Amino acid sequence: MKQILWVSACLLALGGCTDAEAPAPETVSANPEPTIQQIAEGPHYSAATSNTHPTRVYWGDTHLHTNLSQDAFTFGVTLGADEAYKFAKGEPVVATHGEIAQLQRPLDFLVVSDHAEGLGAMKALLDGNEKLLKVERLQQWREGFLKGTAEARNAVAQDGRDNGWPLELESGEIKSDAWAHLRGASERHNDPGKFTAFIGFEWTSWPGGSNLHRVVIFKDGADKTGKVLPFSQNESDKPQDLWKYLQNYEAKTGGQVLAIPHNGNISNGLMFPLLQEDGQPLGATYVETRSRWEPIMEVTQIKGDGETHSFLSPNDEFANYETWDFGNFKGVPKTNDMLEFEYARSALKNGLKLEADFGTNPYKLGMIGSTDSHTALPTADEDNFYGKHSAGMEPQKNRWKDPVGKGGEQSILGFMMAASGSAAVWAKQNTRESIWDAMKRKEVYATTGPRMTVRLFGGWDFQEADASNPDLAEIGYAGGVPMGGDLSANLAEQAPTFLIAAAKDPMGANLDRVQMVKGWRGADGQTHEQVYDVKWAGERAIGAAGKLPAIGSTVDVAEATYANSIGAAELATVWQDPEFDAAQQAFYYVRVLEIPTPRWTIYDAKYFETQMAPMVKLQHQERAYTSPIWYTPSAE
Amino acid sequence: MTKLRLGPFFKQAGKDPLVHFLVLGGLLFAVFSLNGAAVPNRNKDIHLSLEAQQHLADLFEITWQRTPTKDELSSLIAEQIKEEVYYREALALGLDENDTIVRRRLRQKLEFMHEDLSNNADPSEAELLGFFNENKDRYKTDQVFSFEQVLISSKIVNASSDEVVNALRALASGTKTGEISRSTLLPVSMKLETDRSISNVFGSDFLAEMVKTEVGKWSGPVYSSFGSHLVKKMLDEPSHPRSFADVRADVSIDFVRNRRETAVARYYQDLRCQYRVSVGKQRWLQFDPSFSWQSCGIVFLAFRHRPTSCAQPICQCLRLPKISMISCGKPQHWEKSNSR
Repeated sequence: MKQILWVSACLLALGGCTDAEAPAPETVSANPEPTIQQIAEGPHYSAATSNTHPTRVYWGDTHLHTNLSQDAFTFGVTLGADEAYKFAKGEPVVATHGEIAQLQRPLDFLVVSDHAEGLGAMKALLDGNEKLLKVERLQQWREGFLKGTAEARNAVAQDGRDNGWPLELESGEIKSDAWAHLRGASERHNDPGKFTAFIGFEWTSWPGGSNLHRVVIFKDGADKTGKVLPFSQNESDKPQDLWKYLQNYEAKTGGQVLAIPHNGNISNGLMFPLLQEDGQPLGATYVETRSRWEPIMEVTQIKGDGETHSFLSPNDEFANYETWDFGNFKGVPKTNDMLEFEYARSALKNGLKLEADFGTNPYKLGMIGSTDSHTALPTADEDNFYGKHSAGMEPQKNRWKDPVGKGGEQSILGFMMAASGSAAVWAKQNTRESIWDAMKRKEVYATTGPRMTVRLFGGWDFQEADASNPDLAEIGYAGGVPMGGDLSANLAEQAPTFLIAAAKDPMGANLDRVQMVKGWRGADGQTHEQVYDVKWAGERAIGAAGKLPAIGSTVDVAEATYANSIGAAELATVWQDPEFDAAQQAFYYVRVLEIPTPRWTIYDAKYFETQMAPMVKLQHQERAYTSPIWYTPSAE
Repeated sequence: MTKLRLGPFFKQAGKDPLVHFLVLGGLLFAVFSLNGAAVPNRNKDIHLSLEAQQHLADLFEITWQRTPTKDELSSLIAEQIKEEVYYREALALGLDENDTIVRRRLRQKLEFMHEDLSNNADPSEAELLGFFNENKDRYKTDQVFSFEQVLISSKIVNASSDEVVNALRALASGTKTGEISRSTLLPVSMKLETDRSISNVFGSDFLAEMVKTEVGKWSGPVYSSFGSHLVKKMLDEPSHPRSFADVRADVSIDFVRNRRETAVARYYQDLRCQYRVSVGKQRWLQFDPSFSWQSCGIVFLAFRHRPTSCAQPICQCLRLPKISMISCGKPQHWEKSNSR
């Protein structure tokens, strides 16, 4: 019956999707209708639509779970993909806890990325699927759901984590129903030019509890994606097999797809390795395949920020932002030697080493942020944060001290959640094609929630005056490459120049400073990093220790407010690398810091009139990380 | 008016086998009724028709891609009978009650059944046109604006300040915006953009002021969180209706969805209207403003539940002084009891 409902929903969506079990014949593009993308190529009467370069940054979330995800459902979420898309478009929806939730500003795009593992199965279990009810453990789980308490639901989640998910949950029938539903919802809500709804899923590999998760995003619509089912870790927990699946998808359908790794911080050293698990070199095949399918990484989200750890970057006073370094999902504790293979900056550095060894850099990764929220509500705003999941983590008085999750015996308390992050994409149009292409070419950046506009161009001849030119972007594209690009030709043997500009979130806080983060591989084969303050607000000077003094804070903790009386609305500059060595591989990315603002915990404390323990962080400096620009010495 | 003649009717009826059947059936029923326990308990009869057996065989074939052997079919039938026996006993024991899964499943079945029933016919052009006419606002174009802007200061400067006056004069005399603007990442112009996307770039304060400016002329200052702007609105195109032909495809999708949702909602509403519902401790005595009090005779005080959405109000009589409820059910019952 449910299948009938979903299929009819698909039919309604312009006949956009087909049953996953009965693939429609390949549709040949006999349709003479041009796509929005083709129309957009111009030329056009309206100058804005004739731009050869992206002029607009689009905001979205590439990582969201709804009631078709096993864990989200277990946590109690009642909302599905339709509600998620509605919410992202700015409509009010009733959250699982009964609050009416609405975004202050709608998103431009959203990927509903439910877990492939047992997709839709928990919902089917509660709905009384007979096959599932034959499994005793699942009967117990169902009883847990029926009790309905957060404890009972957490117990089910814990059992799943500790003892694995029963394979009966991997029923192809249930999964293809759910996949048809997700694709249908995406087709219904995709509105080219206004709102982009991507089709995607999450491959949730976690050998021994160590997170190797990837979000998979299709460029295509329901017809092509209907020819496959989401790839589950129960089929294989090896990334190589996921990449094969992606390869097969493209070969079979002519479509396009990419994968985004996330939460290296819970991988216990497995996410960005230098060696295979058996100690052997990764090898050319691994590095080439990985770089083929994984152009960007999700660097910040609710389960922690993964830019860098203070153990890895001891001289970076802004390292350790919203850090989660407890261990993996099964409570295997973290050791310092794991960190190098978990965080974005060190992965970018190790990528240079691998490139030297194998000729390809598997960690040439652009950066985005997303929420990984399991509430069907993509919220990354500090003052409108709906939490990690619906088992007590949506707004309520005690969520700061209730456990958001457990790793083995260790409880992680709610206040550790980061109200993060956002995916910013420089694209020409708000369409699947245009935004997906931007991700593929890495012209994207991450923020921890706020919508700062950030431009970064690398070239050989930018001049200081370019930073104050109103046509900054045109100059940038004409004289260099944007974020995510490559610099190689260096005929003049001079250091590269970078044209950098950042504007505050139009509805948010002023900016403290703009920093350039450089990583390079020295002549000895070792990698290094350096953070440069390149532009800042106010009359501050870099001190003796090479540090710019802190900007101060206007945060009023009791009132949960701040003032833009410090900081700058915009910061722009041209920066040239003072320690450039043309023989050394390097990468450069920009980090933009806001002035201190209230963390979500302050807003909660005020709204619920509650006192939090002293260890709870109450204010912070939110930030943006751009995709890097890489410099590669010429071959000779 | 012809006179009713019953004679021929009985004559005719006497030959009709159906009448024989009914009469005999009635006699048998009367006998068994008098005899009490001798009425056959229909709940203990199980009959598996040939069609039902064929259905079992078909299901087998779908799974195994062959017809079942005789033995296999026998065991399928035995299994089916066992299921039926257990099912009836479970029902008799009331095991279906208070089981969330059973309840939810039944609810779903009913809902889905009704959705399917309501969902079959293709909408006619007239229906679509009617839906379009009722929901024209939904198919309007977005209101769009085109404008140019210059950021003249990162501070809030007032209209009479030299900065504003000089900048306005310069722009009026043809100075290019690039020569006046502070350096900024903000776009110099936006063309045919919706209020939402303007607000995303400049903030809602800016949008609110910008829309009020005069078309075709530099004016300001308009403030945003970036500072003070001068703006020249080039185009202010209100949202306008689109023709049915332009949006027919959208209308068709919306119509079908709406019909399905409405059908399910109405179906539920019709059912809901037949129920008396109270929430909380005070059963039945918890009145909301939609109740109206009426007299129903000397010993009856009646109130009538009229949810505005119910076509048929439910009425109830409250017998005084014992305070016991009499459900009046449907309105005609109420009318009867009231007229007495």
